[in-house]
Amino acid sequence: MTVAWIGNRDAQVPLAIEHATALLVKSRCPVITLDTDVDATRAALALARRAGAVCDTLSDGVRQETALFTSSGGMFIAPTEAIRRADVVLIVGTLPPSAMEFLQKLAQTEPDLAGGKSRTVFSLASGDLPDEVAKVARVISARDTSVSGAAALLRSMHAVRRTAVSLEGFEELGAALAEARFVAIVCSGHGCDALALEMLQGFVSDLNTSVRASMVLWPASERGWGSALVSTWNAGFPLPVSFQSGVAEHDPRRFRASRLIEEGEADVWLHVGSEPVSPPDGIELIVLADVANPIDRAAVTIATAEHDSVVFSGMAGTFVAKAAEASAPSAASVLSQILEQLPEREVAPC
Amino acid sequence: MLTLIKGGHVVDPASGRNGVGDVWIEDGRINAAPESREPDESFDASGCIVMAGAIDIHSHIGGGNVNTARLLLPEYHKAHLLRPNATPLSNLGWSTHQTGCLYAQMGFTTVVEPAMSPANALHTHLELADIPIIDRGTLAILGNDDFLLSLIRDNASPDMIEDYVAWTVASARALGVKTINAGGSAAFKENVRTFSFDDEVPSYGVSSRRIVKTLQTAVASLGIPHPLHVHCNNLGVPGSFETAATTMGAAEGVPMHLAHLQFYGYGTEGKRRFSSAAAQLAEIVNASPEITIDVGQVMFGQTVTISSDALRQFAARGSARPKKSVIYDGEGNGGGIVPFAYKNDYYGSLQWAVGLELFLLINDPWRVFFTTDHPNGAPFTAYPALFKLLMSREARREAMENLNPQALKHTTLGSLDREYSLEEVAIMTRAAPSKLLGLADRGHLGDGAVADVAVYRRDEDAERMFGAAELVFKNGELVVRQGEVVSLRPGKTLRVATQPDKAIVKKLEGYHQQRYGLSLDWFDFPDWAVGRDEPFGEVPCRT
Ligand SMILES: [Zn+2]
Repeated sequence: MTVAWIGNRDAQVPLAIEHATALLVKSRCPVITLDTDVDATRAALALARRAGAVCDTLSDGVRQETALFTSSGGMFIAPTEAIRRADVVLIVGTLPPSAMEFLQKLAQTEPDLAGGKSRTVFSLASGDLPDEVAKVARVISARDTSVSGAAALLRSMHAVRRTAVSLEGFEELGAALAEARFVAIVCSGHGCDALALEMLQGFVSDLNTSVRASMVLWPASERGWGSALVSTWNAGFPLPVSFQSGVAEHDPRRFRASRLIEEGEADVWLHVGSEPVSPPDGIELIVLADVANPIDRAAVTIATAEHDSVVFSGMAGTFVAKAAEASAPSAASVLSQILEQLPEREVAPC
Repeated sequence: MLTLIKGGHVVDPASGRNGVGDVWIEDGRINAAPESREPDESFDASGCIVMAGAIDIHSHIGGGNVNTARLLLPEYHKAHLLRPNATPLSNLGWSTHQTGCLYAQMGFTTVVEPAMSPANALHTHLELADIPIIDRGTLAILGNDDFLLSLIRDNASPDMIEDYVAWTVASARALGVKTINAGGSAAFKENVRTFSFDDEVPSYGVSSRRIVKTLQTAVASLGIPHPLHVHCNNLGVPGSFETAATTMGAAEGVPMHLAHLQFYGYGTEGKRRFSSAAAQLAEIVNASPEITIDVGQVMFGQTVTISSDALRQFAARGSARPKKSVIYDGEGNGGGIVPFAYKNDYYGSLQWAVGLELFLLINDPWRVFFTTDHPNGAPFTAYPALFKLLMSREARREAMENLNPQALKHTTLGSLDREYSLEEVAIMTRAAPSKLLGLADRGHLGDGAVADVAVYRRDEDAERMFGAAELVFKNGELVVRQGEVVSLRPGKTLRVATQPDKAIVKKLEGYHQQRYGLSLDWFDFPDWAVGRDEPFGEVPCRT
């Protein structure tokens, strides 16, 4: 069975690895993008250290979520805890497909730790919700306002400040908030930018002066968020992290992978993950993904599979183990083999 | 392979050694009687102090809340890299890699992360496994989780509670059990904003006292070597010494460990109603042989507070510097991250003095443990400076000159002449932690012990001496030479081997299906998930 390609030609995996290594060795500015499991992220970071590469996610949502933490933080609640406790739920912005089962659970169950109160679900600018959720959700409409604008309105109207425009259907939400035991604002970097998330955190903070409230921040990409967390402990920084200077550096603008790729600063791009990617001219693309065919215009494609692996789970709000067997190699093992073939660079002191 | 560390001044309180002599290592273990064989390698330790590797019983080095702190504060790590010695948190030890290296450089070879939420156990172990060189252990947090509070409310049998504790320790791969503001995080979720030892969690009608007593009893009867590790209610509040005193009174002869007692050493005297109550607390500790404490010393400078005490951190978030924080309502346990700078103003000076008073007024070095509650009182990299303060009254006098005199007046520190001896330091950081945690194979240089050895070049200045070890061996392997890391061997995470009953697993499976619609597998993990060969080392229960 074919599991690797150099360009469009079938290749043995060791040969493909050799070819990928050669591209990295001669690269001026290699970039690694990740949305993957823990071991592959560990291996990618080790490879980036050795190759002097930048590591980042391609998920714009993960970038927004990271920015919320690095700029202001906030109050958060585990999804499982929200299921048991939240009597008032407000879904803001669109959520990624991975969140739909969670939303259904919220819509179809009652909280058992809310002192006997039942749950009311509201939605604001949430797009198409699953039927079970749409059936029960009370829609608050901000008409043409952006999500961050709507979030700001929410805060103002709750504080009974005069606003030029208003949210349709706010009265019912306002009444529910006043009586609430625990309010859960459910949102994601998928449908909210960092500004909107910050506004919503301001709202959560206001609510906590009288009732309890917190935010379920559902990751725009579960694997992408997992990779960001691994980078945070392993390199000391969330993504993007650069090893160009020999030590880890974090600068969300300068090292943004999509910028480095689009503006032609990067010359070799190694992607680990399942999102579709397409290289601009002048960049050598290496892809490690669960694919059956070579990626169009990629220099190297290696089919990988998740074996027994650890991934971030939105529902658990943490890492979970996933047992699996596969014949294709894992991304972690391919990355480690590339690392072994790379020449030693000067290692930074710890 | 036979290794000789020759002619150093050996300080090993467990065996009573305190004088010049040799230490032999063979195959990763101490060999006390190598007969008359020639060593394969030999290290000259003349002019050096030789001790077992140090053990830190309470330092927040990994897990969800620690990583959230890193996420919240990338600027600190960045500052560290670009301008090494002059910036806030420049020595924090921020990444897992740095944590292992910086601890090893000071001669520490085993470190306990004291606050693992069982729901987040895999994440904690992934991080701990990425810390090189040292061995680690971690305590599982109980006492705010619905399952336990419901068992207590429903008057479940002691056996049932023990089974639940045993299951939690086993599945979370913990070295012991901690309770943090017992009931406080659960009450905070019900909009309670202050919570004391005899207050009840509203929906359960269960008091903090009852939770602490229940867990203390279960831990003792399961034979888990480390006694219940208690983070009391009302941390940091003026008058909190009464909470700590009441909690110690509730130990009733059964072992109990109180974490970072400094943060409870506050009375309400003086114009600012914030004074030292360290002397009262020390007196209680001295009179209560079942009590052990660690200090949680404050040292000045920028740090970040990381605590699973969500209620307390919520109250503290207004004092965040820089102005950002995270409060987390987790499953069972919550947490909070609040960056903070300790200044030599009235409050900071008083906190600093309270910690030192506790160190100096508690007589028995076997029952007072050396911690800064990293990073809550200070980053662990402040340890060398703290050793110096304990070993030199002159160093304390000099430090006090730069502090708030009004604050110092409300303490007894100026009148304390005690200086820790090397032997007392070795008890506090080696022999006593070994005993407290049930780690019989380390913390001493007796025959068969794990060959964790720290060699320090003797220096009048204890800060210099303990700051960069001359040689450090981990499992007999040389890992530090002249303060520099020379090997990044992987360590192990130490866990207690409790045997949970099958019936409790069934009950928990039903509970998770019913309450979360999720299988129990979501709350447990196989060893392979850690992604390292043999990630765990087993510590036996007491029989
Ligand atoms: Zn602590």
